[in-house]
Amino acid sequence: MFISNIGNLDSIALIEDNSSVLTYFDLDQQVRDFSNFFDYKKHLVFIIGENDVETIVCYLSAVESGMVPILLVTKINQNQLNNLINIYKPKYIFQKIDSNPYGEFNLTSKYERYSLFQRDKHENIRLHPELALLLTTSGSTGSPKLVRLTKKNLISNAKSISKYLEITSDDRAITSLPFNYSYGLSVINSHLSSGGSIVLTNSSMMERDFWHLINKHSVTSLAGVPYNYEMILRLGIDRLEIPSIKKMTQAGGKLSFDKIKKISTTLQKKNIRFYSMYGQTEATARISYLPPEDINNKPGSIGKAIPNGKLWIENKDGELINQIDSVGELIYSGENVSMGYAKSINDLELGDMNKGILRTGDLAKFDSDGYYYIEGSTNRFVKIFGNRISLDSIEEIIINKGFESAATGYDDKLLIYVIHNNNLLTDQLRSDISAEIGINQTAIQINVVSEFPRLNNGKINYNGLTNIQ
Amino acid sequence: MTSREKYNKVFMDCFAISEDQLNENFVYQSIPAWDSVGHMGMIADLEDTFDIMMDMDDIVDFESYTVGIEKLKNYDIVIE
Repeated sequence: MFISNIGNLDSIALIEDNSSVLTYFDLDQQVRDFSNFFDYKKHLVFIIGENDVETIVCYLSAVESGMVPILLVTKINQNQLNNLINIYKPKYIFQKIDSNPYGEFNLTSKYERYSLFQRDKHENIRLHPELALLLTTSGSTGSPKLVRLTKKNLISNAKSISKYLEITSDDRAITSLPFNYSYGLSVINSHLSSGGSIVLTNSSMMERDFWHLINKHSVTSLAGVPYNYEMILRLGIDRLEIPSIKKMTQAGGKLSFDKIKKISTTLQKKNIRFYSMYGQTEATARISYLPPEDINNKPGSIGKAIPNGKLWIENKDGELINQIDSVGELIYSGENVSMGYAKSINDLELGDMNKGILRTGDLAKFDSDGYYYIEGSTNRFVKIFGNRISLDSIEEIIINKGFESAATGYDDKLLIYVIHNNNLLTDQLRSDISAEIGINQTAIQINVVSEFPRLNNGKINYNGLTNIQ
Repeated sequence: MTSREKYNKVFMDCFAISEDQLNENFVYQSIPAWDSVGHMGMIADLEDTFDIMMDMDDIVDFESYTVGIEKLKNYDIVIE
């Protein structure tokens, strides 16, 4: 398979809840069998799945066969899904349903609990020969903006991650994150490329089943975004009985200093290595990491570039900044840098626009030991539960509902200021936004205001917004 | 406020629902708001409201409005 150099065919690759165990031999067989469903030509495949064997087999088989999958989650909003189907016109749709809801598609094959639908009519869609996978940029928001990845991107990032996390065939991960999220996918890819194994579950850390599976299958490695660590702290990190766990990783946003400290000291006592990491879907997944040894000396640091990657910072004029503690835009280069974005079907034909160099949009500095620290962002994005949410797109959603708003926020909090309007029902708006962007409503706060503070040039003064309550 | 009123208020505030939705059918993941994130927020709110610290076992087994009443008995909180 493209991602794994199969060593021991008898060793376990996938374990799904209580039902099935697949060795590398089984997995290889299933991936080969599945590829018979596909045409010889390169086509677009929508994989609407979950953390289960069928989804992983379909993903591996599609990439292996030279198809181009777009990874989406089962719980995606139907309107958003239809919108994506209209924009990208996939040849195949793989989904966990029995009946065929798609007018222009035929149900061609069944695979366990899933169905594969194929488009009747031939659409002449040009896909760049190196295009291997498309990932959404912000979780389940249904935005048509996708990141264009190559096989080289996937393999390179999986190898770098395996190297610095020292992943071997003895390692076993559990799917604590959705498979279609770049971080979640990187856990799957890095373990398969190292001959390790993965326990597949859709249970969350708030469910007994999740912790039961860790102990039952002796999981060694656990990944989480900040809110997963909030959950672990809530459950009582000291009392957590997970003796098989050897490594824990954190990415997808910033944890506060005191929480990092609490987590790292507790995990140290339990002999669990805790890695703080930074990355972007635009770089497949991982960009930098802070090894466990450094976490106490360099709290809040994103560490150094992953193996075979390089980080530096540039000023506004694109000049290299050599000085320590001086803030500029963080730039990354490596084989895992994507070819660029796709916003429409025509963009799928595009070649490599990034040429191995990614302008992250994040502002950063480095210290005298060369460790990097994120200081802010040049873009209007907030990280909510590991998802990168565009504040401009939130304002656009609200304007389409007939209200004028200004959105701001910080880690795991989206603050929306809406101009007073007699038609405005704030609870309703909050749950509508929650449904549309797939983010739990507890992260969304709506404040009604009479007007926005403005700068001299008439633009909204976002920094002044939080003071007007 | 009675302990029942306090208990109900936590659910109504956390999940933006009305009191008449609170019965034995109100269970984990029965509405989008009660996902893992909503669960964590509700537990935090219950802990603040009743000034308790819940054990991991009770947090992961707190699977419905009705089961929650049983779990709170472990902290001498009686919802009548």
